[in-house]
Amino acid sequence: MKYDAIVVGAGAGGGVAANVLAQRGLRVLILEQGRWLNLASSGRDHLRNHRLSMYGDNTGLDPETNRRVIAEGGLTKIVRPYQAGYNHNAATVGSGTLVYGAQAWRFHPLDFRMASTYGVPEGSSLADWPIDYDELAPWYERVEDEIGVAGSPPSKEMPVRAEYPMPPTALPEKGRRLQDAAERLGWGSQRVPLLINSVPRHGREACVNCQHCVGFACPTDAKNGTQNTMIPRALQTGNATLITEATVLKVHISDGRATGVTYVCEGQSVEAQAPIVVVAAAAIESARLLLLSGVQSDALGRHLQGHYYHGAHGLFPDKVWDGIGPGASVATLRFNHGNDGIVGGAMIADDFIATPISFAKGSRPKDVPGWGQAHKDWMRDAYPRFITAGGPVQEVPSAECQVTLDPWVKDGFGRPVARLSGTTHPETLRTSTFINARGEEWLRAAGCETVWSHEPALRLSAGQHQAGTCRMGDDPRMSVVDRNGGVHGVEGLYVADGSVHVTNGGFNPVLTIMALAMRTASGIGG
Amino acid sequence: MPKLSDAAASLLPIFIDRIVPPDQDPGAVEAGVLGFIGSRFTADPSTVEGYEAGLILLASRGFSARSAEEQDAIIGDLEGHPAIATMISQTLEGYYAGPDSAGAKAVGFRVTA
Repeated sequence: MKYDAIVVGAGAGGGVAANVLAQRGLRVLILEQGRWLNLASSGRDHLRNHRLSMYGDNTGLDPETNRRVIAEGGLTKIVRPYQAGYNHNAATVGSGTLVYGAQAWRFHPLDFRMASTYGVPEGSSLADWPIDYDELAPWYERVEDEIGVAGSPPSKEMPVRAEYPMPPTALPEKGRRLQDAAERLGWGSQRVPLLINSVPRHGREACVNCQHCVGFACPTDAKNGTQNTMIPRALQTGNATLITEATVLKVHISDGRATGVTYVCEGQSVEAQAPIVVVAAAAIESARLLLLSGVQSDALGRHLQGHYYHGAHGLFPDKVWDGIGPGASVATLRFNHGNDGIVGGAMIADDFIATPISFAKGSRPKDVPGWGQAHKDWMRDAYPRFITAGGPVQEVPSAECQVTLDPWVKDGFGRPVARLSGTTHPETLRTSTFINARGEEWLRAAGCETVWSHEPALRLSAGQHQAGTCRMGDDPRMSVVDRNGGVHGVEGLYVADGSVHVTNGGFNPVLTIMALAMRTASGIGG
Repeated sequence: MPKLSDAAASLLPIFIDRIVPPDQDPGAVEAGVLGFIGSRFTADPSTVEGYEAGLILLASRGFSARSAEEQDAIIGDLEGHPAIATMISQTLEGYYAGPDSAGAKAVGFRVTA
């Protein structure tokens, strides 16, 4: 079968790229390993979701056929999609955008110039992007409008910009207190921009401020992902075909050109031809697919990064729970940059509403018992008074943190699985510790009596914010894709997901993935 | 499917009610945590072995005949043991996980939509 373009993965990047190409009149094949899901089919299981996946997850990969190998401190182990270390993303149409918290951050201008701003810490692979903020700004603005962002004017740290298409969602009590405290501290704050309808828009309802936002599908379909915006629009053109439960085995490359892919669907192996292939399977699988397809690049699979998330926890003297979701409501950008002796920083905001079991497992100070009457008393007392303020810490990447093909373990199709090894650079820990301290300071100023945080440890970090494995750059020896998202040396092969991020910003990366995908797809063939 | 021995099975309700004791809100037994643990046994039969080991370890300390305070001291002594640690964490999961769980009600997690 012949197409003009094939898009591998219907997530944040792939969904956007597919729509851009279909709107341009190209015949597009979209291949997605997951299925269409909604709230009814994905549910609200507090033990099986992308915030806490003890025994599986609600938008999962088949744990029988999907595995990865984690190499850590001389030991290797095989992990299933829902287990710690796999670093899973949702496998469904829309991928993570069906179940995300939908924070719609632009990266800061300095996020594109990390090496120039801070120098390169020894042993790290910190580098500048080949493009800058101004290059991406118009694309940010387009995705904010076309997918739909609700927000307030940005902090003074960010460049002036057009108003968001929708006003911010309702402000919960925790956010109100953080807002006041940021004012008193002279830090400034802004509402967290969200890819969520705060008012009815594009034929869908507004957010009803439920308690199950991040990790779950939206009860009113007010959360804007590619599954309810870009992908349906692509299909509406009549130019796009979406095949779900299709696993791409290989991209075909011949004489330095992409010629198509082989995928498996319902047990049948199918060869699809196209002169354009856009890989958007997220940083781990995109790198693996390119490795399996014979792409030659020393940078391929390296610089794997995500975000360190720790943050500060605190207890107010009185009840602040009002159940107004999603929960991430007020942020300060005061510490994204300009922190003395620290590389980069992070946006800090209140966290999404935690389910009681996530709270029971993850949020306890060390001196509170983990079970028994004292624990039960603590749960009842602390849950309504509790707040977490934290954010995605900009990581200092390492070339040794990488995705390779495991020499021994195979997937359900007999292909080598992804092997993850290495850790972030130790500088990331210093930034993380610094951000924890600023979070604690903020919570104290907001009136919390008890404040605590956990020390970060050196580890591999990827998670749902995984990035870096197909680094963008002008020098083919140091990068995998060029400044337009095209794989060096392979005509017609593009990458349109977080893989291309040189560094990952001190912000949730999805809006950057979407904006870059739109820019890349718009430039294809141009 | 493997089953707990009678000796182990008789200790399980006593144990889980020490992890989440009944008070003004239901304890683990009343909240149906035994059913949750049973579902873990079905999903992953190897779990049974761990529970058997953990509960027999408690039995060896004369668990059932002790006062609640003494039982807590025994659990405190053994909580680092992998089998006991799993039993504790799964008891908490059975109690607190889910929008309609007893734990959600107890802490005031109210679902509005």
